[in-house]
Amino acid sequence: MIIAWQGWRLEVPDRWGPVRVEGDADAGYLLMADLHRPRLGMRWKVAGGKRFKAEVAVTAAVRQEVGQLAAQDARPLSMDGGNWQAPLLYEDDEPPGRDICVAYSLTSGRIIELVYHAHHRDRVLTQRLLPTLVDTSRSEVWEWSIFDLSCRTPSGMVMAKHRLNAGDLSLSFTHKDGSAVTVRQLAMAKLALQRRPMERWIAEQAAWHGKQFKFGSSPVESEGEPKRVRQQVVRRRRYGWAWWLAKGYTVLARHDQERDRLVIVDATDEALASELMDTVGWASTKQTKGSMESMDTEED
Amino acid sequence: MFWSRKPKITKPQALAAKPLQLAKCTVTEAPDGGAQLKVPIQPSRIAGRLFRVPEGTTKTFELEAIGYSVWKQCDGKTSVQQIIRRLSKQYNISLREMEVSTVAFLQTLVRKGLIGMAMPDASPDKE
Repeated sequence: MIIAWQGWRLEVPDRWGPVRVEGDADAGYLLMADLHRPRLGMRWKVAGGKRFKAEVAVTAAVRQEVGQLAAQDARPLSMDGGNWQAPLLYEDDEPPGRDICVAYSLTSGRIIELVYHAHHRDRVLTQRLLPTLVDTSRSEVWEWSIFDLSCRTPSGMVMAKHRLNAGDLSLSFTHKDGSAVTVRQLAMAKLALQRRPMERWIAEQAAWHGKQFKFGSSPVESEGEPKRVRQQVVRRRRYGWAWWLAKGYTVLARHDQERDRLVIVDATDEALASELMDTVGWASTKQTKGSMESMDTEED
Repeated sequence: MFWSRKPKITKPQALAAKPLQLAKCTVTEAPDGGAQLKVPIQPSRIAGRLFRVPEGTTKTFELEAIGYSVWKQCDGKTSVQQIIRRLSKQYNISLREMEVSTVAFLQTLVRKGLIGMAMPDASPDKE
């Protein structure tokens, strides 16, 4: 399973899932766990400044995580496949304990820290997780993948909010130029559509924008494949003075038959909604099995 | 002590617990895969005298397809963890998402008195 969040990307076993997500692109924390215990913590923080030295900052991060004495045992590490500076690795001598890897990413200017909760002595962190770690800069297209919702956002878009309910996941992004987009994915789409037709799901999504908006037209189904339903939402005339609100939204909905997911995207711009809709599910289609599957069996 | 503290249950213990149907109910299956459970009401002695609950009174619970499949698996042999894994595989949903929703549903069933949990005497690290 691929976890891609706030510019970084990592491949983890399918059994691991995020249980805690905090922060934004500048600083944050994500904890992954399986059914039994925490497995991996990811921490990231922007670092820099006039007197900034990657080595000092990385050492300080290790010290903060494991303490002064243990930090002395941390050793330099070579990390391939990225623009990393001063990576340090600390492995607990007597597991259960924590293995820690901290490195400064020249790509995004952030200190990235991986805390692997080792149950017994293994090389999961160094041999399986670290080779899959990728960091991207803000000027690039950002990939997002959490649980089974995945999409790609154009450069410059930042996450405004996320709602990760079981079976109902949504991510919202905004841009400095005022454009905004929300991706929502519902699991077990067949069941969801039995209870409520697509039009009502779209209406519910449109209602998120508040009473200032109304439907511009009746929903239109596209002719090409995959079939999509499009609905325009426009600002009510009596809110014409509200310059800070978008003029309207385009809501696109699609039933992904293969994955049995209902995907709803709404954006201030139709092209943006369509572009994002095309990228939804990129992580599911990608071949990520193989090495990670063997890792699962090895551990459990 | 005048009160007794609830025993602390660790997460592995909770996942190893085996839900068991408590209520003797009549099941009417629906065409959409769901079911209606009719459970006889057994009022307590005081409530029975006060409200005069007639004999044969039942309470109906409606379960949709997934809920009913969970209910069927509450046989005292299948653990919570096994139920989660099976559902996750069947509906192609991540384990974490399935864990959250299944545990919430099982808690509701426990609260309604439909199921009980058979706790294994396991050590916390046993998987």
